Amino acid sequence: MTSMTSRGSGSWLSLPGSWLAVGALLGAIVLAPVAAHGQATKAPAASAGWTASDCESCHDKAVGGGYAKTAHAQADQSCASCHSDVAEHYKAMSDGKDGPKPTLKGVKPATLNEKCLTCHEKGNQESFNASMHSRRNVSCVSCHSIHSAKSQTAQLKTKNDAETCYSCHKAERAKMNRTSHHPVREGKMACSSCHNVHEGNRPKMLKAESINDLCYTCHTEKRGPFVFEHAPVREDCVSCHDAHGSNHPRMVTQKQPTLCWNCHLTGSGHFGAGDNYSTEKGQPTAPAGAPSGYPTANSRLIGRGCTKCHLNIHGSNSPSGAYFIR
Amino acid sequence: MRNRYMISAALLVLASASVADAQQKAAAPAKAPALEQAWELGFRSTTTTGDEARYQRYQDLTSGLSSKIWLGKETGVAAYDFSAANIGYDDQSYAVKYNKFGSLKLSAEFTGQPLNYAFNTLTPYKYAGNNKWTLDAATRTRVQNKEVGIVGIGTNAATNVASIFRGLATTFPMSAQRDMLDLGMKYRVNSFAGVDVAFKTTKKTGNQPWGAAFAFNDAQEIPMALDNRTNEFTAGLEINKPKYGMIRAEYQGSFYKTEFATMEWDNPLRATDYDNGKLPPLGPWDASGYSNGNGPAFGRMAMAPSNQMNTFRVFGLYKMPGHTTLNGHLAFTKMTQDEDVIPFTSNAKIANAATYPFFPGLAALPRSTANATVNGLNAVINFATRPTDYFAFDMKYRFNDHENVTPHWNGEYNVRFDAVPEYVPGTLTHGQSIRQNTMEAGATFSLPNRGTALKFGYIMDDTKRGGRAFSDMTDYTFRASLDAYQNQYFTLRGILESTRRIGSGLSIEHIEEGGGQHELRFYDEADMDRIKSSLLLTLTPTSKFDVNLSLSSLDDEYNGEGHEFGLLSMTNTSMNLAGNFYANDKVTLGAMFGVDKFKSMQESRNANPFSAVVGAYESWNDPNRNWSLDNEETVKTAGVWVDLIKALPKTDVRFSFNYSDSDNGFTYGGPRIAQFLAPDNVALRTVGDTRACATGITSCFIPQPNVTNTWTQMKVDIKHMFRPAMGLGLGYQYEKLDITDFATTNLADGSPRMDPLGAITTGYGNRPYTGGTLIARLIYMF
Repeated sequence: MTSMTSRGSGSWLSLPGSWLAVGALLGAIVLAPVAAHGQATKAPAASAGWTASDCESCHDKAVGGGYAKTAHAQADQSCASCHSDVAEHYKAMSDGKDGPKPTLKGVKPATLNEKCLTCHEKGNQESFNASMHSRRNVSCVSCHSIHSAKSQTAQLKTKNDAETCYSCHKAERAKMNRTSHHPVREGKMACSSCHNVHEGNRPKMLKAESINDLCYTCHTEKRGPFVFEHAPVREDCVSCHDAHGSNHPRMVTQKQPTLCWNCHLTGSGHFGAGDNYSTEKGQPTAPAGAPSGYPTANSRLIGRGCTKCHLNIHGSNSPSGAYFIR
Repeated sequence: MRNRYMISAALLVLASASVADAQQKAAAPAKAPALEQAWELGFRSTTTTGDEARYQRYQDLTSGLSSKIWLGKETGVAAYDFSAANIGYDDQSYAVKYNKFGSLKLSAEFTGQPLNYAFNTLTPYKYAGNNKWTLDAATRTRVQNKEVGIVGIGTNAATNVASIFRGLATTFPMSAQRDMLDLGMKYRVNSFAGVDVAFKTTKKTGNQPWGAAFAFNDAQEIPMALDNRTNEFTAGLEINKPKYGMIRAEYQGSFYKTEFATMEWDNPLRATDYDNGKLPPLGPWDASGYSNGNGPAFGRMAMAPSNQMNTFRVFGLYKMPGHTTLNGHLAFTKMTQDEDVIPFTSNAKIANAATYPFFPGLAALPRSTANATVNGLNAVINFATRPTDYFAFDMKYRFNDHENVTPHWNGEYNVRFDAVPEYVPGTLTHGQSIRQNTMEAGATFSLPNRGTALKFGYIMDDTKRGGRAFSDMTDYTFRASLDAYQNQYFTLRGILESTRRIGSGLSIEHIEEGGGQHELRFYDEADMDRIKSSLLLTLTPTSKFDVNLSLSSLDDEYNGEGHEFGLLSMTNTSMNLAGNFYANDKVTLGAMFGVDKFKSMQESRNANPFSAVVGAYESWNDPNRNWSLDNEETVKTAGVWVDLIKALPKTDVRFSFNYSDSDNGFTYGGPRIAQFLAPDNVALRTVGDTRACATGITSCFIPQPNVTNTWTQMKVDIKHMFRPAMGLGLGYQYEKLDITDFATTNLADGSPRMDPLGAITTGYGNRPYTGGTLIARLIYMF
């Protein structure tokens, strides 16, 4: 019997990979600014003037309507904060000439993102540069619309965040339509209930340090710690559950008892004659002369299978709960 | 219902006043554009056949008044919002928001969230308060006395063999209600500092189906009572200077409190604790009591205990030249739980002085409270740089430590199912500690003028745990991705990952403890090869039309030395094809179709524990008792949507259709299954195998039948504004679920059977439904 607390495995820095990581990281920190010498980030140009009211005579569709109700329109921001060469564009247009076009179409995602992060690199966006979305060149305007947002909040291109996410993550959309699901399609939850799509620090862009910590946010009763704990439960909720949806009760990834058989499969003496549920004894009626308590189809009871008896499978606080039966 | 009408009427009056007020103000020139304001009041009618609760799983679609309100005002300095929906129903929601631009945000939201399990569940149990469930004592006595003709718990699957408890069962709606109040404040102290405070309280009440077994043929299901609350408090201070970075310090506390530390329920087979009249250790309990129901008069289990978690976090971001950032966070967490530990058993025949000399560990609890604590430390440091438009580099190191410092609990003595005292040497709590070190590095090479990037990455993820067969495991992952994102006609994003997991520190003792063969490996810790890939292709031949193809696959092979039993492989594939057509501002439509497939292979051996008796037949070592299970699920998904916004005069029409079809099959194989399927089962009688199962039975193997379901949903909503500010809306939602599930049992008339073979349940299960909801409403916008 071993335990982390008794192993005395010492400092986490004893792991070679940790030293490698720290060393490489420090090296990169020292070298990168050197490599980037002379390419310091320029502060945004001063943006005196060129507010929505200056531009709306031509661009009324862009700066009127929904845009007028956004924080961008209300805050002390101007068109020139995001669009470049606005003055030159105005002068050229006034003179009836072709001038620079301040459109952001065709601008690289990294450049676009940088414009947005000038103001928004804080709060939820603090680690966006390290996020998978950023690193794969997904731009802010892939999801957000500055001028014609359709959502009530967050200026999204669709009515809600789930629709925005589904535009790429279609497998998740399909899962949300399964019989066992979180109330996303009912509008009671959103993808952003669990994920921060700007997140670069936490795994899977979650809003917590780990999958389990995230699940505990709502399912606080599962948090424990318990007197008796079920190791895979404590390690990773998605060992058994698919939070995006499933066709099995309680969003488990496979039908019980099949789910439990992924680990607990070989004969354990659990079933008297050494046989397994639902194979040799998975019959609806006890045979004539069978002993009292003969395991029958009730082992498949109400979709719960093993948890019919192992009911406190997430952990037990009972002194007789070693097998999660109390 | 009366309350709903009264609340709606009151809001109607209130809203009317607002309208009048708004109309008066409309005469004056507006200083700033008003936010959209509207309210809808109407009537909803819902009809359902079949499982009504499943149709309304997370919603309250009860027929009656229907209401939605949005009120908003914006002054150029600040904005005020109020919204309410489904007022007076279980899923009602209200939100009030104030935003003083650039300085202060206040919000208060209330949301009701039902979870409807079933409205036709039934139980013979009566609620006696404090999560205690009782059965009629006289009936239990008749069952205990084995009166002729009295069936307590059925031993026959035939639906016409009724338990005596069937007649005592009454129908009740089983649902749980989660009510959430969320308060928030964000205040910008100055241009670089801000504070935020949030408080959320969640109250959960109601019932949920909960297993409450006395053993194999004495399995109950109880509508467990819920009454708990979680309070969560967050406070943060953030300082940011756009050119340099930011830092944020945050405290978060989460406190869960349940009103029920235990659940108690009567044994339908017994009115008194079983007593065979013998003295310990031969009695008075039945050594087989945990499998035949000769147990206690009532059972007692521990509920999930009250607990709390406190976290202190610091986030930081430092910006450097060359598009270089260094950011990270550090979080200290403490989870604690110190609830009273309940007694070993409810069984007075066991919990007495005569027993303790033979089971000394049962005389007193090792400690009176759980005294459980986990200390957590999470740290991340991220470095990302893009020195040129052609090259970017990122590196991440993450450390997660979940250190369970709870003192060991000696669980060698316990009482199984409140029926049998046991001594199981070596049963100590393992202290589920987890320590994870993850290092990730990636380099991106871009063709900026082509809008194409190629990225390579490497991840090393090392995990050390307690209480597992493998104490350590390390995942080594190589990743390559290609993103072509700036072509006018197409976007292509693809990623390929290859992972090799190596488990180390194998402890065969851990596998033996669970009664497993030495060749059993747990799939989530053993050696594994994984190939994971996804492809997203978007074609945009014109600005009016796009096609999206999404492919993904995950292929796991669980292998490694000695790995013979357990999960051997698992595959997930997904294909989705979608198209959108934007005819103009008024007409948009789209459709999608997808197929997801899941497949896994398990291998097992049915055997008695190894006996080591010389000359005896050892099924433990007999490969002819091997069997396999191929679990395969295919899900097909389809959807169509059409939006006609003012395509017809003054009218918006929205239509959507969704479809999901699932077929989950179970295919058994291997020599043991072949034996069972042999016509006369002669092969079953292997040397030394004299099981009764073969007697007079042609085959006692019944594979699990397929589990299938087909769900369709259609929604249409028509809104016609016959005046600029006034209109009518008509919405209709239709849903149909067809489902077959071997785990759901019904009576001949299709109603839930609460007394299936070997159990007294609530009848909860997977059942079909057809539901339709019509909402007609008056719309006023101002």
